Amino acid sequence: MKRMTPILTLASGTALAAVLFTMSAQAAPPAPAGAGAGAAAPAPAGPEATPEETPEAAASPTGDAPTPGAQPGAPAPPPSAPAASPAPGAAAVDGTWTGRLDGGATIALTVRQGRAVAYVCDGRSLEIWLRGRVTGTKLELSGADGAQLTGTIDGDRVSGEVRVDDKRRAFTATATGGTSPALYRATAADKRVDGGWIVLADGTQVGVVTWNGKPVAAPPLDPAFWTTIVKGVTVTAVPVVPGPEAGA
Amino acid sequence: MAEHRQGGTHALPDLDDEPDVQVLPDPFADPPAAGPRASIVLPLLVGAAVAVALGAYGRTHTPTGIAVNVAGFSGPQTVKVWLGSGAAFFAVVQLLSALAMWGRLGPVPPALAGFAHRWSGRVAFLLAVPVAVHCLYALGFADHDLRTLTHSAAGCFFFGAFTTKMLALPRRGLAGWVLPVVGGVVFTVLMLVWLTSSVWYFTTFGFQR
Repeated sequence: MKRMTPILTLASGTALAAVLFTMSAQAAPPAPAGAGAGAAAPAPAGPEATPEETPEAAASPTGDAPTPGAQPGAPAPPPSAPAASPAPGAAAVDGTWTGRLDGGATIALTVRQGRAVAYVCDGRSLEIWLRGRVTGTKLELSGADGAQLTGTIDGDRVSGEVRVDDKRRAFTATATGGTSPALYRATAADKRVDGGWIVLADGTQVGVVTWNGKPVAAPPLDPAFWTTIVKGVTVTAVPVVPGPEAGA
Repeated sequence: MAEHRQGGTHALPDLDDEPDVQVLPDPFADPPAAGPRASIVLPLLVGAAVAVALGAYGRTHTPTGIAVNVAGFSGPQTVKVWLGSGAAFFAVVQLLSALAMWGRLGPVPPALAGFAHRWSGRVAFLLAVPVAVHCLYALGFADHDLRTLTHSAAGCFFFGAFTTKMLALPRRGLAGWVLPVVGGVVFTVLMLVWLTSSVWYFTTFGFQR
């Protein structure tokens, strides 16, 4: 029996490794399907609740307590209004799209409240950050060195072109369908590292890190913590969302 | 085979259904060992296979960056740094208890030394496994610089050497130097792995802040 214990030690180590490998394989980034379902679920609930409550509120002043009865007219719309209010105009096209440029580079685009940010990256040396606005369904973004992005949002699809210098590249992108960010950026405190990553819906990452002004392929981010180590320096990436300083 | 059979025909009746297992002694075989001396060759081969397999896996598999989230730590680096340091601590216990088992630390009860040696080894190994899983799965075999290359190679070698040690332990009649040498290699390599990761992290962390 005693002679077996080293084998048992090896076996338990192997078993532990197997469990951890399995858990790691399942520790994929938040699946867009789950997020999509979560986002879709409240939507049907809202319309259902509102029609029920409105008749009740209208009928209640006679039957129910009179003091709330005076208010229903006012509070009832607000619950339905927040659900509907992001819809009008520009906010209707909020979302995240990922796709490809002609020539192979990857593009990701995020739109929030009429502001947009896009990142074009080939995973080796090319990276362009673009920021701008959405007017209706028209995208107008610009980036460093005169880079321009124009495009049209058509529901789940975005198509357009990116212009850098005199080169034009058409692109198409499809909605990720989830709320998880697709764009991550990491900047080290000493500014020597500036990394950008596109995290596709299936968890694939495409990234470029600019190290002292030289672009190199980015090491993958650890999706549990959005950290990675670039040449011995730990950097933490944060999701990029279009902010008020869109022009910056 | 035919020659053997010819040579043996006049000694053994040629029975077709009798398996030809009792062949004459092979003149080219090594002379039988002077005692019940077991071989370290098989453990060495298995250990080498483990080390090469880990390295090949880490090299060929695309690093996913995906890792298990261990609660209570600020990030994957700190998890690994502390687990690795724990393994290094128990490795020192290993060295001390091994010295005690061989009577180099004065009158320590052998049973106590053996108990401490077995359990510190198990704990150290089980602490090292999650670190290795994260390294291999999320980062892969890396050679960005001398440190990462040393760390990657030594990390693969450690698990190979540990496998050799575990497989050698149950073998009776090994030469007396085998276990101390293999154990010493395991300890040295683990220290190398630890120096190129946790200690490096602590010093870098200090400089960065």
